[in-house]
Amino acid sequence: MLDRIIRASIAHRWLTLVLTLTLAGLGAWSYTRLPIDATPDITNVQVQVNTRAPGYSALEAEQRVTLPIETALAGLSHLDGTRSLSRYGLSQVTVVFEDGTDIYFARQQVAERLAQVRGQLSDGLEPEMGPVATGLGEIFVYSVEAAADARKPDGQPWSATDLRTLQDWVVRPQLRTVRGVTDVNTIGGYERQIHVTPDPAKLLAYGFTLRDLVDAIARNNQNVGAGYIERNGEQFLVRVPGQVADLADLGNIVLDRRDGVPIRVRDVASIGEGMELRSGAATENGQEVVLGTAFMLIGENSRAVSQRTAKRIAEVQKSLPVGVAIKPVYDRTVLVDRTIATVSKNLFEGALLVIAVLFALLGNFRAALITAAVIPLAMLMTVIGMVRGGVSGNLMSLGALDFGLIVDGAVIIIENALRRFGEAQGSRAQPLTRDERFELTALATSEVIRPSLFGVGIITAVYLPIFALSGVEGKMFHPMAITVVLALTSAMLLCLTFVPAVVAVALSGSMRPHGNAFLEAARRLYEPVLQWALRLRVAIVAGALLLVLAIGFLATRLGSEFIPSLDEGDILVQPLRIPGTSLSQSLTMQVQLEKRLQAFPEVERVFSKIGTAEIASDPMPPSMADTYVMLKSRDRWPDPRKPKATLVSEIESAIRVLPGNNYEFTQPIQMRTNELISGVRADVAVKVYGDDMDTLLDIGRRIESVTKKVAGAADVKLEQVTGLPTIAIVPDRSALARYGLNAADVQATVGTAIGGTVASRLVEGDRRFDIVVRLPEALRQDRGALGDLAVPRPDSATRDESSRPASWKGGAPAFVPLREVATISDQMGPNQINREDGKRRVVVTANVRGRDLGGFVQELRQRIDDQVKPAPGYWIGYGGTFQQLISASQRLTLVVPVTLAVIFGLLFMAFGSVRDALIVFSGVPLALTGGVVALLLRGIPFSISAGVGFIALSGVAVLNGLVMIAFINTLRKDGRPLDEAIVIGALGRLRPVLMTALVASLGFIPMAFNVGAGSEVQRPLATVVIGGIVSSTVLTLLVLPALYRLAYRTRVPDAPSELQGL
Amino acid sequence: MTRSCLILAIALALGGCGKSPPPADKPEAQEADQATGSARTHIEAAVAAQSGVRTAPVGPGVIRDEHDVNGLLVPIDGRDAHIVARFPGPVHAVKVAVGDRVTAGQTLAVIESNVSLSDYAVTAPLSGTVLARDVAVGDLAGDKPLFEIADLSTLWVDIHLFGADAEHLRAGLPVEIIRLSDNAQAKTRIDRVLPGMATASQSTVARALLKNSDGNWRPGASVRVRVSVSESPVARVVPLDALQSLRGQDVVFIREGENYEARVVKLGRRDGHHAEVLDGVAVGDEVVVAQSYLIKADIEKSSVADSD
Repeated sequence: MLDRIIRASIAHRWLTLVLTLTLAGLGAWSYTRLPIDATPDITNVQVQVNTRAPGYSALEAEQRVTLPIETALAGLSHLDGTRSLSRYGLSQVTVVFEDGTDIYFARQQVAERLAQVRGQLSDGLEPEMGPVATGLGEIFVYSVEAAADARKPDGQPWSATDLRTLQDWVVRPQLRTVRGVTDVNTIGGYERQIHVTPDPAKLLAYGFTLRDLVDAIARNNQNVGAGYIERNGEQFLVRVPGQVADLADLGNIVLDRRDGVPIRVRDVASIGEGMELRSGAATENGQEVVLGTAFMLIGENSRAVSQRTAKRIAEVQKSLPVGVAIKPVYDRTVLVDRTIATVSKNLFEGALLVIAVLFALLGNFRAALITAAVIPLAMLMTVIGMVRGGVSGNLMSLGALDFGLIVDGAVIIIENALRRFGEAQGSRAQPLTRDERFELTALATSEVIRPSLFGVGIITAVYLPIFALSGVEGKMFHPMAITVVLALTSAMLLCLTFVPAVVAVALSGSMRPHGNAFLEAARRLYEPVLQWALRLRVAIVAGALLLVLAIGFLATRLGSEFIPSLDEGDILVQPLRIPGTSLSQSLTMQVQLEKRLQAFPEVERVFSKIGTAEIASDPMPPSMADTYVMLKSRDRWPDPRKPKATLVSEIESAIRVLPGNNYEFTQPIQMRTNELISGVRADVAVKVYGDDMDTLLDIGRRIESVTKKVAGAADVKLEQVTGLPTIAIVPDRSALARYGLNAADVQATVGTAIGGTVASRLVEGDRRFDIVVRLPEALRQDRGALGDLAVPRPDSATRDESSRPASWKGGAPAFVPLREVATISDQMGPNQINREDGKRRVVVTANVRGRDLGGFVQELRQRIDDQVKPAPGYWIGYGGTFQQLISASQRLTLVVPVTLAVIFGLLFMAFGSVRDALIVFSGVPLALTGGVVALLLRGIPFSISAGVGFIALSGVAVLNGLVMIAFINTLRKDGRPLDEAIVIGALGRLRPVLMTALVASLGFIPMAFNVGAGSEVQRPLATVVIGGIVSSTVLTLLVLPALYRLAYRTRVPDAPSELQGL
Repeated sequence: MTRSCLILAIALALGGCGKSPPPADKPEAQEADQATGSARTHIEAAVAAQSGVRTAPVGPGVIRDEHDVNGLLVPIDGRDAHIVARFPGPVHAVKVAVGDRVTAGQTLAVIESNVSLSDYAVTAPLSGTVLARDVAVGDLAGDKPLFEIADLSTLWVDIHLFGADAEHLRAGLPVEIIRLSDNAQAKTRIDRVLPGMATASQSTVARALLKNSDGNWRPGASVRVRVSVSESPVARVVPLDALQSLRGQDVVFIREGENYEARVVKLGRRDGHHAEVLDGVAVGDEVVVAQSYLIKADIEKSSVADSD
């Protein structure tokens, strides 16, 4: 069948070429639609439901917001689980769906349920779904800032509130309409609010309550439409405007008219622009600023969206007042461009080297070009597949592409065709006729196509274990495996069709075998060595075995990392401060931190998000901040070759001296994805579920101490859920009864006085600003004044017979101070309440060192079962990355043997002989030795990238072995004696073996030594391949013939196996 | 052999999964501190200065227990008079207007008595200011008061007291009266606390005398009153800003060179600004009085982890 395909391709060669070109064109078009990003998106399918609950503490937020929402969301289709956190002013429920669920279907379901639950929530609480974005969604961050000498039209400098207003009402609306941007988040500055701050003493003097003030403002700030009237055939609309236009209007609102005198709002309160009780702040280079973040819609091309955003920002700039500027501070394009530049530079340089090698070895420029043409063609076809399959182009998918493997098949075919041409040509003077060339091409191709196909099949099979990975690891590596398999399949298709067709068309003219000096030298060198190896075959094979064992031992000493960390080029420092740290304290500390960071000559700029932004997609308490340290491009560093790790440790020691901060170092994308994937990123998480916070904590503490005692436990930590200082104002029921008050009266008074009540909105065009009634700032901050707060007494307080009216002139007061009706105390409250699948939970996390994870978890479970007996209604669950690791290992222990069996089966199919299959199979470990040595020499730990290198190596080794053994077998079948067959076969295969080796290794040299963005993923792979090629070549050329000789030593020429059909 | 080697390679990959990223290293010293239970930390002087950490020696001070309460200005009983015509009859003349100052015995109005049908003078019983005049020429004087005259040179300040305040406040305590309109202040002392209590409001009144020095203290006006319940000199005080709570205990932070140590303190009385320290620090100890939270944060930071 293969033969028929090849012959058909040659017969319809022009059609084949046109089809190939069409495919290439389709590929080029697909390329423009290929989503390109720096890293694969490993976020799960999730919908965040955020509810802002101003003034609610963690407990209230949980009880009154989180719980109803969670209950409503139970039982959704394809639901994987829910988790939630409740914190001051915020409830966040994260609904995680099974992988592969359509995000819009998921959101639709959540939206339906939210519509149902809305009625159960208190007024003014609006659950909102987070933006349709993933962990990679924060693609563009900009700051809105004013020049130091810029002045507003009224001569005042621009305040944080003014900048925030510009961001909210000028910048954000324009950016939200950029295609591919799903939302724009704001943090920093103060939302403009109009504050009506009554003097409590004046209120008392007039006998007004805070409520009166709120009501008066609400009643005097409305526009009313009153339908229409008709007159003389005309229709007149009737409107009754009543909105206040400005602050003066607001002050003139009449509260009451007494003794002929109107008492206005301004008589009892001052009116001005105030600051909201904000939950987040932003700084840049030690200054407070306003930051905007553009979220990219799921599935968009981050580079394109960033560019569009940048372009729109330049337009928005024109609409801003003089002196105010929008400055991009983080642009994903930079990273993507850098990464893609590295990848394409490596690919381009590699391709050049490959062409050079091919030319040198084939001695035929056209042949070299044809072979090299397979690279871009296979790439373009891969891109088609990627776009169809929804795989994005990124460091993992493109970075691991190994065009050594891609061209291998073509190299072998073309080499064989050239050899055949040469042989045919050698016997006569005139050039070959067209038909002869076609016949020879078909022959040459089908001669080697089977081993090539088997080789590709085997390499594809080696990638199977990667497809078996699930969860985060799966999302990380599937794109890579898919891309590689796509590329290999494309190359294989090209080998069957395009290569023979183009060889038939293009390789005309004289095909006399050129004297190739390099090859001749290699052959002269190889022949005696081969003879020597065959003589000393036992020693050679034993030596190889020893080498493999030694290297195997060394391999266990290699460090390892599962997921290579992708260098994003920037650093994210997360200062952790104790819970309860206020926003302004955090801000002060952050400014100190930024000043230190900025002093580094490598640092371009520093900006931070403190606390929670307007859209609470990343709800941090005020005590935490994300500090983005943007580095200059390396050529502007004092020492451009300083490793990033060194810089990070320098930074760490410099900021370590700042008091009150603990730090975590990560990178922007990495941090975001980690946060989204799961709350827990430790090896083992013991989760305690139950109702009462104190009991949960108690059980948590017991588990913590048990866990610490298990051998191998490290970094054991009980999640910090308490420690938030709270002032509890508990109404005293009996005192309330004495005064005829309700608890709600006390709550309302405190709520308005401290937190403020939104009375109405001031409308300026389409800008709306809350009018808030609350106590003046000085009084709010004064603990002593809190107790003196006047709670209005109801007029209706009935008097019984024994009642004694106030007999003094001043009369009885119409209020009672707060301290008389409530006890005020300081407490430590829960800082955050976490729930999972509908129950409160606390988590004890631990990492495991120096011990196998499975055994650790088993012992831990045993001990916890024995020693921690939770009260009824409380139970313990286990989670953490160990689940993924264990399930991954389980899958791999199943899949790896199956894969090996499949490979062996393929080899067996190819040879129909166990012995031959084993001989070729033996090539793999020797090939790996070189890779291990190369890793050791460069001090690179083992990682999946390196693993991919090993896979590629195995492929090369198997491929070469296959081709050589098949050739030797053919020779033996032709009746040559064993030794002669081996020598001729080995010598005959010298050129393709050397070629594949050189192509693969030289092609990877740029990758192995580049330092650009993304190189850390490619470097291990390239290193392994280059190192391994050396050993693999030696293996194929020396050990394989020796082994073959050994394996067939006793047999008198029996019928050697030949490649069977597929 | 060959197969086992490939397995080895895969096992390596698996081994890679088992290892976790290295832990964020923590300063050794801090961990040791945690273990021994003492709470101290080290901050470089320059960093401390930059961060706004300031210290001050512990010393003697005064603890004032102060309250802000509401008061009402009223004329003093017996120093205001509601003047009623002795005999009813038509009013022939009115000699004063609201706001006039009058002296005792001054004629205020002339009324023709219905009894004697002769004019008689209504005179001021005391010196003071005419607060109200409810009479005009031609009116028929009857039972209604014609004038209200009050001596406003001194006023009563009626201070509403609730609950426990009624016991705390005694005669003789100093009070500060603050006018709402212009925040003018006047100092005086509590004269007495009235014996009765109004049932509905559960309040009583403490009364102080106020000299109306500038004439702007007007009866009927609300005032803010700051009462000093007690004023006691104590040996050691620290500003409230110096106090922090650490592991459930009140502490202050003592600076020795570049080292800061948390000292558990026993606190006595406190007011709006200072607290008396009974035990824990000595006079002259350098206590952190600004950014003490930073020191607390630094000591406790090792317990903090990412809670997301």
